[in-house]
Amino acid sequence: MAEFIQHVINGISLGSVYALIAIGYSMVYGILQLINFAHGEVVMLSSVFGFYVAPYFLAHMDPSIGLFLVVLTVAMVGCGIVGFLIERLAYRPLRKAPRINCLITAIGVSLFIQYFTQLDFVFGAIPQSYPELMSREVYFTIAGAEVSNLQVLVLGLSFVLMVALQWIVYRTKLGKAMRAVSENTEVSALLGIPVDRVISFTFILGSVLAAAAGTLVSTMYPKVDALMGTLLGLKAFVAAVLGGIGSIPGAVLGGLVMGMAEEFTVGYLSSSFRDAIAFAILIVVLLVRPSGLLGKSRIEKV
Amino acid sequence: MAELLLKVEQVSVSYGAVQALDSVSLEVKEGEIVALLGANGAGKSTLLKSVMRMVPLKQGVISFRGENLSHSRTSGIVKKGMALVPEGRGILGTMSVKENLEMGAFHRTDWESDLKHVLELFPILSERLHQHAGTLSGGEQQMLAIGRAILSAPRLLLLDEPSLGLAPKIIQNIFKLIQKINSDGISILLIEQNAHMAIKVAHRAYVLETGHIVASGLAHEISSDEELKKAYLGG
Ligand SMILES: Nc1ncnc2c1ncn2[C@@H]1O[C@H](COP(=O)(O)OP(=O)(O)OP(=O)(O)O)[C@@H](O)[C@H]1O
Ligand SMILES: [Mg+2]
Repeated sequence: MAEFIQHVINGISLGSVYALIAIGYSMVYGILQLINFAHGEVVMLSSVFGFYVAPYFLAHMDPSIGLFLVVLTVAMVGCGIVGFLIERLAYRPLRKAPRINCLITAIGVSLFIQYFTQLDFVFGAIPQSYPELMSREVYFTIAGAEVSNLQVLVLGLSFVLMVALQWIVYRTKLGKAMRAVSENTEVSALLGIPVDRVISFTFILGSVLAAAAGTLVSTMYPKVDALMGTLLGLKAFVAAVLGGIGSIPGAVLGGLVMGMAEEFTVGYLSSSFRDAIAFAILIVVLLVRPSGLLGKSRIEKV
Repeated sequence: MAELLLKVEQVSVSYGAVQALDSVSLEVKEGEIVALLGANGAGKSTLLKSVMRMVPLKQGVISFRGENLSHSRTSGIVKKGMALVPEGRGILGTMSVKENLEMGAFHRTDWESDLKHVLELFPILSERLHQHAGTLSGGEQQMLAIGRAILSAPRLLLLDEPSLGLAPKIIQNIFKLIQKINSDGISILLIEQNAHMAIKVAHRAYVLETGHIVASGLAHEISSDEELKKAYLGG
């Protein structure tokens, strides 16, 4: 029993991270019908930013929640800028191009960031260990299962960010404009909504959430690797598809299911299936319910 | 002299091989209701889309209050004082009626009093404020689309077939509201297939046929022209 609960707790915290990343895929897809393959790279860059700035702060602060929040803030700002630039430089010039061009560009941007990061004078190809922002300790135990302070942090931060996102999307003018643009871009422009600005805002928002995911991942599994974004990004993408791409609640649900599935696979099957489960889920979803758990089934325009 | 609001000069638009507009010129002055009549596929919607810069011009100049719009974007044109209620209404069905109205006023901060005015004009909307706009009936959606456009504070309102698919009683009501909006100081360029109704409320009219303006004049002149009557007003 204790083991089962332990897996559930681990699954939820891993799933929250996937959810944070999946939201970015889903929001961008909702607005541009584009799968932003470079999104995983934004997650990776978040850890790279943390890797470079944390030592400066560590000179003045001890590992603590405060240090974590400072590094998180820097990573969020950095990734927000990166997300903005990716859209502005790579996708905006292709706004009227066929969708396949955008998709190929997305893959190109993703590879560009990966290989650029691997350059020796940038970060390098060798994985590095991520500075310890907070030391892990057991926060409490329930039914014999241990919950670490890092897991509490993951859950708490994810929850706060998702509530904040919900507030932005349903209560602020720019958030409502995001929903308007994702429902109908042409009509939104006719209402005087500056569509390009709304698209930039969407990329920034998604990238800020990706920054949180990256910082959390590296805090839990203290490693930075220029290639770490690929698998994280792919799994989160599967989570977004599972939940119904374009739907924010779907992304959250998909992320949690995904984290849980991975954790249970590792726990009860074999850890060598850790990454395979994501793709098994993807295949099943595409066969059984391509619109995802919470997605509206609609006819693809392509 | 009333101010010249919209001036369309020799505008041509084509979709690939289809020439939808061929050197079309047209004007709307402050205070006017101008009807743009024509059969299916004549190019009426294309004209309004080109005014809002939703389709590229092959040739010609469009200006609003003397300002050339060739470098403007759709959302910028709305700010300058023109709004289009598109064919099919363009309701944001997953958003509430209130949110639709709020999006209409996107570029404004002081729109609360105008919201009150719009709700007085369309009382049915105040009963439905928190409903999803997709659940409204066709007539209610058309009112929402018009009300939403008014909230952008336009000087000139472009309406693309507001009566399409509505019951006769509701159409009557819509046309009354169009006159009311006009008397409140908003000029109107109205597309209609329902030419009888349109010509009754309009001051002037243009007739478009396969991309060409084939007639223009005061509304009563158009409606008394026997040939046009046969062709466009159903005998
Ligand atoms: N997106 C498009 N692609 C290709 N051809 C188009 C497109 N939109 C319109 N057309 C063509 O351009 C011509 C003018 O179309 P438009 O929609 O402006 O006519 P309309 O007068 O508004 O007709 P209706 O009364 O049916 O609304 C038609 O021949 C139409 O088939
Ligand atoms: Mg039309």
